Amino acid sequence: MISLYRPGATPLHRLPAGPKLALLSIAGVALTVTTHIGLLAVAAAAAAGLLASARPPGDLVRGQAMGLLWITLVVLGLAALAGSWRDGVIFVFRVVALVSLATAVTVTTRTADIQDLLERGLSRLGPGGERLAERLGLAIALVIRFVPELLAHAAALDEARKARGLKASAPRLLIPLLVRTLRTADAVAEALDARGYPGTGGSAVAQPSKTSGDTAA
Amino acid sequence: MGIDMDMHPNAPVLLDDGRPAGPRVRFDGVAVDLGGASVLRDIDLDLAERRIGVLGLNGSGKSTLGRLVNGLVAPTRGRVTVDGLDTVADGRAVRRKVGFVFQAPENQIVLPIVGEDVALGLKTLGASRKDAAAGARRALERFGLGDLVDRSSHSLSGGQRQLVALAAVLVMEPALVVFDEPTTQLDLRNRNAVARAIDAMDAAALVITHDLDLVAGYDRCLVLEAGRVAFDGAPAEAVRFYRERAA
Repeated sequence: MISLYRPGATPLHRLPAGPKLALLSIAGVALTVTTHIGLLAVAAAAAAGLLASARPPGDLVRGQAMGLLWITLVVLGLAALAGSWRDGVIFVFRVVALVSLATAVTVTTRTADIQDLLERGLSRLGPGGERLAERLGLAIALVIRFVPELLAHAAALDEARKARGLKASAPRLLIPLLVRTLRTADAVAEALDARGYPGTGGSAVAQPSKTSGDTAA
Repeated sequence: MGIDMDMHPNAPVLLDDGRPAGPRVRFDGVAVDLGGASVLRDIDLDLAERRIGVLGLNGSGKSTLGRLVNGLVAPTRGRVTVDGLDTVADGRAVRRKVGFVFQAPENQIVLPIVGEDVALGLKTLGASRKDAAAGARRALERFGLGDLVDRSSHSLSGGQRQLVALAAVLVMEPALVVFDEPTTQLDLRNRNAVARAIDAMDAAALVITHDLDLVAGYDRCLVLEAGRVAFDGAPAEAVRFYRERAA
């Protein structure tokens, strides 16, 4: 889960986040209830065409295509074993269509636009909703921002293990990764405090024995 | 240094040539204990220069001193004020005056897209989304980073990260920026870019560093030793003192 947004000026880029997410939701429901192979094939082709129109980077498309290829092979293999080719083909068309549509939306929509949409929607829940929406939006953005950092931490730890000639083991990776993750969370909370983000620090200043931890990082 | 320190504690400070100095930061009998150990003690300082360097060995208390100015750490004893504002009681107001650039900018850039991250500070100050985005673009362009506005924060090089982190702080127009070892992780080219960016800032700077060349032209330099201010004076003498102590 990383920010896949790529700047551009295609029609999909110009379409606001709200309609895009609404159409994605409707398409998701429609694709789930449809079992007509012909319709699903057309939907998959149309979704792939829509994705191509957003001009996504080649490496992203190749990565997703490889992932889908594996899913396709596994599903079709299982379907063949179960004697139900039709179900396997329906599943594959459905997944191709959904993944293509979701990628098209992600590639053409800034995280901030999705965050704003979420904030606008949740702020209608009543008093305090705006604040909750802002925090939730920030939490989502932080997840998107820091997943690649944590993956990089994990890769660095694994590389260090190999350099020391140690055998791979889950605790050897997970314990230091957990420690680094907690330290990163502390550092991010402190950075938000330092920038005066509302709800962090302020009057509730950090004590010297620790960094402030009142930010939902 | 030409600064009259005997005036009213909260009065604005002017240099001899009439240029405004930085905001007035006062440490009055400050001590910080951390996990039972004394990190800083007996700190009495009156800082108002535009460029102040802080040197010291690892563990001497430099970073804690910087964090006290922004209010990220509260003193165990004593009081820290910025232009008369208490960093504990008036934390939010202090943070509007004092920006902080961390040693590890990857943790300071908190949003996935560079432009969004720089805009966050302006949104915090109440700017509309559109104004914040425009302000972020201008701030990045000022550092020659305009082409990064739509880039993923994760994809930046070390030097770009440090400059983006600085842009994200400066866009909020602080009166003083505290830098915690801003050049430690950088190659020479990026180190020079960050040094130039600090020199060009309108805001005052308190720079905690091991980079002795960085503080050469500064107005004042402190050397910390085991939690105390061991030297306070001109950069050349401070560097000489530090070299002797570190030998």
